[in-house]
Amino acid sequence: MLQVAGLYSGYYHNREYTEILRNINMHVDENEIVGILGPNGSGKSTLIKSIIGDIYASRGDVLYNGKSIYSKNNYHEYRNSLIYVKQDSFNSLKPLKTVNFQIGKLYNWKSFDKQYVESIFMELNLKPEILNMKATQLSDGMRHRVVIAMALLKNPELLVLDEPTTGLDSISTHHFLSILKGIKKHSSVLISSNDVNALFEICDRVYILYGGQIIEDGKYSAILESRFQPYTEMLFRYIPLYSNRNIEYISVNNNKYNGCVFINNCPFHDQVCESEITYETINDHGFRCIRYPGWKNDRA
Amino acid sequence: MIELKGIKKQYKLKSSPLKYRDYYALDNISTIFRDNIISGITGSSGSGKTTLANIISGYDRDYSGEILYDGSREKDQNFIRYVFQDPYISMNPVKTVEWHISTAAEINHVKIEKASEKLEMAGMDYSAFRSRYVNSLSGGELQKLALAISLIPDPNFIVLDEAFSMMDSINLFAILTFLKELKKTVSLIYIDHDINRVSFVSDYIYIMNCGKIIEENYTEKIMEDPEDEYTGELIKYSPDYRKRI
Repeated sequence: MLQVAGLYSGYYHNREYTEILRNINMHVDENEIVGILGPNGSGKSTLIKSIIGDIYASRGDVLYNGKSIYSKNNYHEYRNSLIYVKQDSFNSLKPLKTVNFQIGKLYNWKSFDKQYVESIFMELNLKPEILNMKATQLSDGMRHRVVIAMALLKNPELLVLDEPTTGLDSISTHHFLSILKGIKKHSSVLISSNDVNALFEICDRVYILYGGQIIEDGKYSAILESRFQPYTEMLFRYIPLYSNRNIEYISVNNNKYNGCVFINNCPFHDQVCESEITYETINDHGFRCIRYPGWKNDRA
Repeated sequence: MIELKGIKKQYKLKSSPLKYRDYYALDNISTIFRDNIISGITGSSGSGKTTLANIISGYDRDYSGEILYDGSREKDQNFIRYVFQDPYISMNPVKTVEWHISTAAEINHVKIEKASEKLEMAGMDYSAFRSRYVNSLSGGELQKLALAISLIPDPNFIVLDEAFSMMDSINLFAILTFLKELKKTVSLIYIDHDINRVSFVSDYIYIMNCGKIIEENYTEKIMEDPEDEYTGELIKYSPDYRKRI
């Protein structure tokens, strides 16, 4: 459905171009939940912004149903069939208006099915009395859930969520992820997050982004089974969970910056890592590591 | 040690035109925060975690009840420090990291070498970051800087109100491991909505719901044998990559 082909993108600052994304290839099929996982500053939000067409690509293309979204005719149609939920939920609501007002605006002031709205609110653990509260009276988590509920009301073809689970407590995260599972029947979902736990509970396929490049992708079960990139391995080892509370953290800093994107913090780096690394695929499980499978034995 | 005795906080909500009703954000909270351990507070959003943190640290004085800091009602200026949820509002975006550190050192009458040491402790290289402007730092780096600044006057207590919400999991793991070392010298109150992180770092957990502390106990006891039904639900639904919905 959505295809990103060889995308290069970045920002202009004082007429100077900073490239952030390099050679991104990915796709989202119908009725599928796809996750983008990466640390802070890896380019998750930039990738999402390029996909929805907020910033231009310097090279490459984004295709929706086979048509480029960067042409004027297709873009209007594309933005009508997709809904994007921002990371910062406060800017999506009018602060001094009630939630009821905001939902009415969503339906162009026509009458709407109040019971359906309330059923979605119930699923996200929101009380119906919230409809009469102003956006400034809501707590951060509640406001976030209201914005997500409003996105779900429109039944979009493609739902793009930028860090949806930050600020949600565990019970509403669980309800929210269960709702996404239900949405999967009639639309596709693209989620970007830095939370391993939430993504691997729900996603069918996961792309792992680091330093503006995709370094690993595959089905969630394949990645859970074995990791081909040292970064992903570290990601799964250092998860703040109750069962991991006695694991010691070993920080790695190699002071090397050429070649592989992860060379500076990689415990398994070598001379060969300083060259250009190509992307390889084995059984639909792609990875960008020249030392695979050699580094797997280094640990023993 | 911080002792709370019957803390109440109420807001007035408009229920209908010309009619108001009381809404208790905090309802009769009495508890003790002990020295030299990490006390974790968790609960759903809107349960009053941030309100409680504001009252403990003295930012909010509009409450009824009594707080005793080491047995006395008055607290020393450097007794308690607060790290905010949003690091962007506590920093000046057009000043450098060096400016923030040196100003904090000057206010607290500490030498700048000692102050920059705290930044190194928090996991940021002072020599590499000193000339960086704050608006060019990422959210996680800003939050590390905020923690370092709060450490400069050597406080007895630090309140961390979702202070690490913008970090990715590896950075978070590193900084939470650092907090475990820090508790030998400072007592910490760690507030987070995610029970995974709270149980990872803290020794004693308080569970809040609707403005009340419904359960408090040592971490092992809470995680393995929760008494309250709500706590059980929080643990059952906590996100875990090994569970599949």
